[in-house]
Amino acid sequence: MTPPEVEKPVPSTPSSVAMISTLGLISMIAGLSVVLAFQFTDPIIKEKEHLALEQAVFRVIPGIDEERATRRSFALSADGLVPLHEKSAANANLFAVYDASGKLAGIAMEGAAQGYQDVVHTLYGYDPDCECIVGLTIMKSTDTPGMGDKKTVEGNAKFMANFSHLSVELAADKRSLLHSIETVKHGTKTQAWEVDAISGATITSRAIGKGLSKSTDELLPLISRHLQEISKNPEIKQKTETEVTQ
Amino acid sequence: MAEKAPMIELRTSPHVRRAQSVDQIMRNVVYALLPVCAFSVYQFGISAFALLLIALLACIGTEHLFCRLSDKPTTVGDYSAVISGLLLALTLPPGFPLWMAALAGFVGIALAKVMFGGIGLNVFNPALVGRAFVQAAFPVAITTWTPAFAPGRFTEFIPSTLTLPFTEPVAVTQWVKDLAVDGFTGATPLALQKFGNGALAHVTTSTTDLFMGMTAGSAGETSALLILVCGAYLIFRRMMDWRIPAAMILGTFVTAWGFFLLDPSSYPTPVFMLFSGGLMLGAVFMASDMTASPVTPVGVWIYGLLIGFLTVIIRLFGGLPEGVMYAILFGNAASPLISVVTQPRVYGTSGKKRKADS
Amino acid sequence: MANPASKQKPITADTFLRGLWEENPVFVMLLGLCPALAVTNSAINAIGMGGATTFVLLGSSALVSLLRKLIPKQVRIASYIVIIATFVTIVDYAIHALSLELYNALGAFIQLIVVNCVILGRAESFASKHRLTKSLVNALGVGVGFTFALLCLGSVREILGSGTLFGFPLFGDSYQPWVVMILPPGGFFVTGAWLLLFAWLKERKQRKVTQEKETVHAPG
Repeated sequence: MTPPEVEKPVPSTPSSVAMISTLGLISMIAGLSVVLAFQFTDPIIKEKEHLALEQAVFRVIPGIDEERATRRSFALSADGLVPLHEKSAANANLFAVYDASGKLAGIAMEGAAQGYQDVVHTLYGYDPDCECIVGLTIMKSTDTPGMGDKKTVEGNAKFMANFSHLSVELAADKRSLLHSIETVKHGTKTQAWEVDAISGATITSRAIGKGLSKSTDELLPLISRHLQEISKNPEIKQKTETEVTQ
Repeated sequence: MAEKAPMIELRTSPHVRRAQSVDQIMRNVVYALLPVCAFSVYQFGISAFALLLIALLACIGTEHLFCRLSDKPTTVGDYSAVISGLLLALTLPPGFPLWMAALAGFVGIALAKVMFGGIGLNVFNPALVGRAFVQAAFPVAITTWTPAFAPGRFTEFIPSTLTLPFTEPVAVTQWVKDLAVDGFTGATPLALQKFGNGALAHVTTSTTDLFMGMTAGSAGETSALLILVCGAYLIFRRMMDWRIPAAMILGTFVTAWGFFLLDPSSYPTPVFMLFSGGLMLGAVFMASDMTASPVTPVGVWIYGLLIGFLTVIIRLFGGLPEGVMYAILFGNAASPLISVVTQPRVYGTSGKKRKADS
Repeated sequence: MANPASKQKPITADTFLRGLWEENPVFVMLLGLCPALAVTNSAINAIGMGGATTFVLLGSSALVSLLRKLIPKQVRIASYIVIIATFVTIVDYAIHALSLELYNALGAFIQLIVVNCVILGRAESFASKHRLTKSLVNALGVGVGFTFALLCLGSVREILGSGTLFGFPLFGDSYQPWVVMILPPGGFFVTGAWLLLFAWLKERKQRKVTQEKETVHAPG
């Protein structure tokens, strides 16, 4: 019984210095390569994300010349309006778009509500002059492909027509909406603030409508309070000034 | 111990009749299904007939094909594929494109039955698996309803029925409009209740209409009365466990009643829950599938109550108006576990056996 | 540690082909099924995922092989994980920079490559025992095999589920897509169907071999 046990050599444990130094070396190599990769790709990623958001924002404000229009980001809450720099635009919930002459053309905002599978994220354009929603794009929807996904919903011209002139008029006291946005069954839209659902994708339609109504109920009264501030476009001014000095 | 122990067959008197064989039972289930099929043909016309025929052929053909592929004698003769085919067709909307019905039959038999080893070994009801597949694959086609008792139903097909294979179903909106059936909205009573605006929607469908089957819906899920009569025939001939439909109906009723008492204005009445949608068909012909339900008496009650409870929960809170199909599939999945948990005490042993052991 | 380097067999075609076919990670070894089921709803996604995994396989195999004599046995798993995680992070950044669309489609599954057992398996059972070039060839074989399997799944799911391949429509406007195929259950169905096909092919081949043996033995 005992001889074989004696024959087996006891595996020697290497010194902890060797183990720690190996792990240290590997971690150093790892850290160095990750930092290098980050340094190299970060500006490209920022640029691409910026471009994607820009395109989406310009898409929901119709009649905009993308080449010459400008955009500013804000964080709007009950505490007030904070203009944001491009770099911290991730926290923004409001994107003001100005046309070539520097006039406010519209405001893009995000809506989100629970859909069939997951939260449906939308971006919509608001025109303060007509107090209505003028455009909509789906940012993310994981609802049933062929029924409630981005491609199908945006391809449904009849449904998208809801959002070319959807009334979100404010009440006289400017503290709430006259009528919140409501989603109604396919083919039963009668009022300017109602959204005519897609037949067969009622749940997704409702999520889109609910996301809009939540967002508009909260933000539009605040916007009306800060409209003056939002309408100003310092960037354009600076540009013209520099042009003059040159 | 190599010798075979002698087999003694013990039966209680009277010793006149043989025990029922599998194909005998299955044949009687088919007989019981025939009136339901006939009514659905009467209700929806030749489209329903074509649907029944195609689903039947797809199921039988698939079973035969797989038996040949695996060099086994064909098992088509035991009538179980016939039942799956008929049940599948009865759960589909009457204007469902035929090629999709054939696909559903193929998937149901191939995936849920043959892969598990054939009759007696399937975990899930093949007809429901087929339907669940097409429900997930073609969500629009399977929720497109056409009105019952259309005038020309015995001479012309519903346009979507004859859709070419692999193409989108032909739109039926115009066809339905031309028929001008009063008050038809393209929705089943259940869908009206769920997606309609206001709590009054469910009141618009009278219980008598539901009970007699005068509403829109799947080919065979509309006449509660007829299904109950056919089920009673099977129970009378002792070819079905009466506890399963009873437990499922009870489970549905109690759960729906509970919600109705909580808030009568927003939840439908328990009677509406019982007679709408596919609940009766599911309770009588699908949940009672012999191989996919538990075998113990207590287990059968738990199984039925669970399905009834889940049906109401899915109908009220799920994303879909109808929950019977998923509730039964869920019950199928749970039934082996239920069987294990509810093993009856072996005669002569004590209930507190564990204590004695330790 | 006395004799391994000198006694290693030379690189053969088998070093490469073994991972590609005979020990295909998805269809034979059933490894790495999480990404294989989750992101193969289109051919492009499948290739993106396969490419990313191949890159991580190559990088981690190379580094593990180079450091194989340095890494003490007791901390080898920790070392491998750190190495794999490094390459996963790099490939994550790279895909993000290359294509936002692909990055959004693959989602968290790029980061999850780090727990893909195909990669750790290669590091543990091959790269840590073989020379650099041999490890690289083997990793490439496994990577290509993984990509091939993903592409098999992705193309079938895309053709049935959306009627397109690499985004190009195949059947015209009236095609009815089988939505279920691009949903998660479709991944299981298609994987199962491929496994069935492979098992059937294998069995048929075996049957042929035994039949041939019998015919050879019979006259003798």
